[in-house]
Amino acid sequence: MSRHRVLLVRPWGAGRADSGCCSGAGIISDVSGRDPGRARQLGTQRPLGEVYLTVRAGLPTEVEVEVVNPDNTLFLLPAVVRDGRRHGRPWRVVLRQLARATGYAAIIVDGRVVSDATAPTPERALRLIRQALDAPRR
Amino acid sequence: MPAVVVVAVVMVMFALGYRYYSRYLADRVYGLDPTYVTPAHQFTDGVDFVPTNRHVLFGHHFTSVAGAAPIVGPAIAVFWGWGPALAWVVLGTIFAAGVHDFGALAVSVRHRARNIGTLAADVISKRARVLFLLIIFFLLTLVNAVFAVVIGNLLVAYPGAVIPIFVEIPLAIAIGQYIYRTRRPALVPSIAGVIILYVLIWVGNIWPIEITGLADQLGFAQPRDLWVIILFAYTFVASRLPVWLLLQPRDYINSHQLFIALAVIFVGVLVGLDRIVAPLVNDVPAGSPSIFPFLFITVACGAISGFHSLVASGTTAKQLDRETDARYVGYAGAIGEGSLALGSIIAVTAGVAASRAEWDSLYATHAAASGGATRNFVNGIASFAANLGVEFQLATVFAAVVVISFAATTMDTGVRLQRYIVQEIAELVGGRRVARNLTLAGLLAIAAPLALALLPGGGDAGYTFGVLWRLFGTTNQLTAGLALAVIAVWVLRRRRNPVAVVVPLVFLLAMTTWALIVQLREFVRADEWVLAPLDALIFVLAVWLIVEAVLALRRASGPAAEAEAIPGPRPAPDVTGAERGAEPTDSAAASSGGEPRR
Repeated sequence: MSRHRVLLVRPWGAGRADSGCCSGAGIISDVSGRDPGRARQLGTQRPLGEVYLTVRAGLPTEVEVEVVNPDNTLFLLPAVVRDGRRHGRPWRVVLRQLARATGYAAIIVDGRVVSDATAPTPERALRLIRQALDAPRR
Repeated sequence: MPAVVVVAVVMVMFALGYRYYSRYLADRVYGLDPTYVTPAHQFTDGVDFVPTNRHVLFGHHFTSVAGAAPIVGPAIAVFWGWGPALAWVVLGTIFAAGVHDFGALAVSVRHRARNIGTLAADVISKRARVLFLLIIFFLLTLVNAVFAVVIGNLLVAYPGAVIPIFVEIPLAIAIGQYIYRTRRPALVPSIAGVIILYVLIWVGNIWPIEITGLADQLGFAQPRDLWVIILFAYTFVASRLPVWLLLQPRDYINSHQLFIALAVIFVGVLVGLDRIVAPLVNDVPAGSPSIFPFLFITVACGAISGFHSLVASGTTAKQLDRETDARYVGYAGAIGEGSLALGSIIAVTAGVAASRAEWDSLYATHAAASGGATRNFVNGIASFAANLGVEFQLATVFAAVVVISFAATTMDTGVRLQRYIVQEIAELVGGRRVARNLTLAGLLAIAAPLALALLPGGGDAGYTFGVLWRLFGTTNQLTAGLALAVIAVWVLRRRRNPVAVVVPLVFLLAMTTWALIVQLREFVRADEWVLAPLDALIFVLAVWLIVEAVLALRRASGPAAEAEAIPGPRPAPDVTGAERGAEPTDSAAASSGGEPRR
């Protein structure tokens, strides 16, 4: 496992809801190609897609970069806690970051939310991430 | 037998299945290659195609496939005894569902992450695409009918659930609006939503809403029918709303509920040390449906579900980082679903009754077993919750709300998806008016399941829930059969031994067609002239699928397939270069398993 991990949380409303066995909105466009929400989904997702491509290209391969759905709490929440604790953050700080981790287009570096509420430009996102990676652990 | 022992033994078997059998599949059958460049790398766009850590992807995949369906089938199937039901869940998960889910993911990754419907056209024949759409049409019709009946039955049996379920709708919309407009993090509002929901469970328990009187005044034969109409009216409207407005926030609340319910089941069993009181093998009354083939139709989801191939070959395949991750994501996802089925079996054999006599009264006939399946599950979960100190009556409403929430979301998306399928089929047959008119397509989408859920029938052979459920299981197994046929042809083309895929394929198709023939005879004898043609149509689809699968397997084993057997390596594309963001096209030469490597 890499020492540093960057999590890019998909913007709310852009992620594809899935409803369990025997349905699942996530499969709608895959089955019929008729999902009318697809254009909207692409519109809200593309900025994060650009961020991902720039960040991935701009960081060393040792830094793990993941795109996560905000409703994938099975992974997201334990990951934020694990990363925060591994980088020496006290529980109080970890819990505060946990509450922010599902924010709109949140960018989380080693368990710390460095941006949320708006998807930053790819260049700004890369700058924020690099600053967080270089910053002393708190 | 202590339930906790059964849980421990099954978990060990699942672990062994994952450790050894999935390894065999990965190495010897699917031939996974860690250097293969997956579509997530080949077409990286940061939107659909994103190389994703396998643990992240597992979370996505599992929450996509876990739902209410693996609860109902096992809760009916224990009618034949908990031994056969559990054996099918365990063996089905290890040797059928794991092969199917893992295989669908593997074959999709080798074909530019295209969905199983498109792959059927490429790998089997062009006709298979039409077959796929027809199977999905019938499957969704039955999904929507059975879940309407499930919800209707539960709302009648647990009137305390009415307030929480119906207030959950504006609650989810409010949470969705709040998150979407303010862009605040979703976690705290969604947890607040769960807390409000649980307060509403308490409120609903104090003020239960019965509609029996209203249903009588309106002339309904049974109050469930009024709920069924209300539910379809709701889903007709809800399926027109954007996904982010209602479905997504409600799914978020549901995902919290899923983990809470799973914790209640397994911790409750551990704390209460409940014993299984149901018989290992039940001596069923004369005239009951035979264990062969009906057990294998009754338990579809939980043992093997064709719907998983849609999730695996759609969204999951686009995000697989390394081809070898398919083993963990696909196979372990199937085990997750099997664990839900295990929870259901434990609830209806250990939680629902304190003695064998009490259990026998609940499962006296097949009609009683199927009609009471979800109630038995709810009462079983409630008894586990009572082990943890929750008052039993309140716990029943909690469990009913969990099941109804999942079933309602399934109906919501089921009707939505059915509307698209109606439009797709209308376009194929030249019905442009239907294809373009959302309201008309929506009405057509709900007409058939509404009729199935409402029309009266007589006795076991009529429109009882058990019959609808068996037809649903049949079509779900056909979907799985289609996916397994695609996987088998692909494996054979690669000159690998397809036995691990062909055995569950043949078994499923044999059980399905056998069940369809037996049911058809029953329906004709009982003058059921809606169910009989429906059964006959599904039988035609099953025969069509068998013919297509045999022809495709023969072609794949012939000399013409030799060229596809050992794909040559290609240079790895530069993910940051020209191919980045490129959308895969249907015309691309991916059908044979275009094989780029790292």
